[in-house]
Amino acid sequence: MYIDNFTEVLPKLVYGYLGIFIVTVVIIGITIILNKVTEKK
Amino acid sequence: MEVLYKYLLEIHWQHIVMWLIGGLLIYLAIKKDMEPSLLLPMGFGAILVNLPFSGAIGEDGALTTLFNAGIDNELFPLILFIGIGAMIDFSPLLSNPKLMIFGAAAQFGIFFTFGLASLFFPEIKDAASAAIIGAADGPTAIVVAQKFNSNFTGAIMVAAYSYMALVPIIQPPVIKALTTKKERLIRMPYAQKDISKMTQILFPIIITIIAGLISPASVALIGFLMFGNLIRVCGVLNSLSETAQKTLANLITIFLGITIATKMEADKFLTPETLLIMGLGLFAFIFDTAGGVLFAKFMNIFSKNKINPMIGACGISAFPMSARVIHKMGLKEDNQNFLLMHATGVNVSGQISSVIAGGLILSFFSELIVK
Repeated sequence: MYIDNFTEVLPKLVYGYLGIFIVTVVIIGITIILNKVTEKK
Repeated sequence: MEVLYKYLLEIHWQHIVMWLIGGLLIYLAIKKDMEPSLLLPMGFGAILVNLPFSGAIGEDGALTTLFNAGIDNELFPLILFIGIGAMIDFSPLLSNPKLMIFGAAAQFGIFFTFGLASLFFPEIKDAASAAIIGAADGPTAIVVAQKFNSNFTGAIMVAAYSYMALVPIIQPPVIKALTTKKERLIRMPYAQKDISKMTQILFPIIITIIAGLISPASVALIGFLMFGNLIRVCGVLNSLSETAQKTLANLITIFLGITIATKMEADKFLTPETLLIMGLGLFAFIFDTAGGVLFAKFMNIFSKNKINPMIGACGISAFPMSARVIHKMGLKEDNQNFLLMHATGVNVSGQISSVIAGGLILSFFSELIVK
């Protein structure tokens, strides 16, 4: 078992998974705005 | 006379095992209809490269040349992404953008498996490459494994494509274990919204810019996928869209499958690590499914309009197989419960999220990238 590897990657994995949610929320927000803006036209 | 039998004497048991593995892949492709367009070329290629002194590989081998020209530089998977992008209809997702959150949630398996794999592999790059099998996305798995120059690229590719084909077998038991009958019966009305042409055109461009700014290493992946989609939705390149969806995708698939087999030489493939990678890949698929389902259940705590947690499982990239599986599961529980459009929306969001996940892994571990 390579415990050192695990402790090295763990914080990055947590940030990575959270990162996907942040990016996704941004995309959702932009898409909702885009839908609204183009709906008016 | 010696010419006729001298190579026969060079056959080792490892060659025979690889022929059997190749035969198994061909059998699964033909008889079980499991990803036949990839498993059949891979199976045949596995036999081809495991003939003693095979002229298909080596310095001047045709498959090695194809590998260097199309996979080593990630060109084949990227070009395939143009075809895949042209096949994807983002309308169900654009009708209900909130579904995209399940695509993010279902990438849990990648990150969880990465942590687990890091305990078993001395080199982190191999743990990262094994975990990306959970993206359920062959091209992404190939690109990440190649960028990290993983020692187990062949096994990773075989696992990625095999498990994609096994989605109908892997996902249902996991979903059933995590949901109650009552939850599986939740109906979700679908209201088709008209999505403007402008939104459809701007969506792939915006996604490319956002993903590219966050993870420049993955910009080719998401960019080629979105370029294919832009060709589809722009309305003025119908013949190019059709070519990308059919001719281009088919051509690349033929070469991709057989070229991947270059990495299936017996001495590199028949190792304990291959079994470990197959196990970790399965683990990643299971936890992707669990991540999506559990996140949907979590959302239901706060949501007024309840979500059928089964659709959370579609957040993987195996499109459209995962959406179909969930739709069928919904109908099995209640023959009037039509989840297909919601499931499709989540499934295409999984396609985007898995590429972003691959890109984030490349960004967070950029020091390990060798090419």
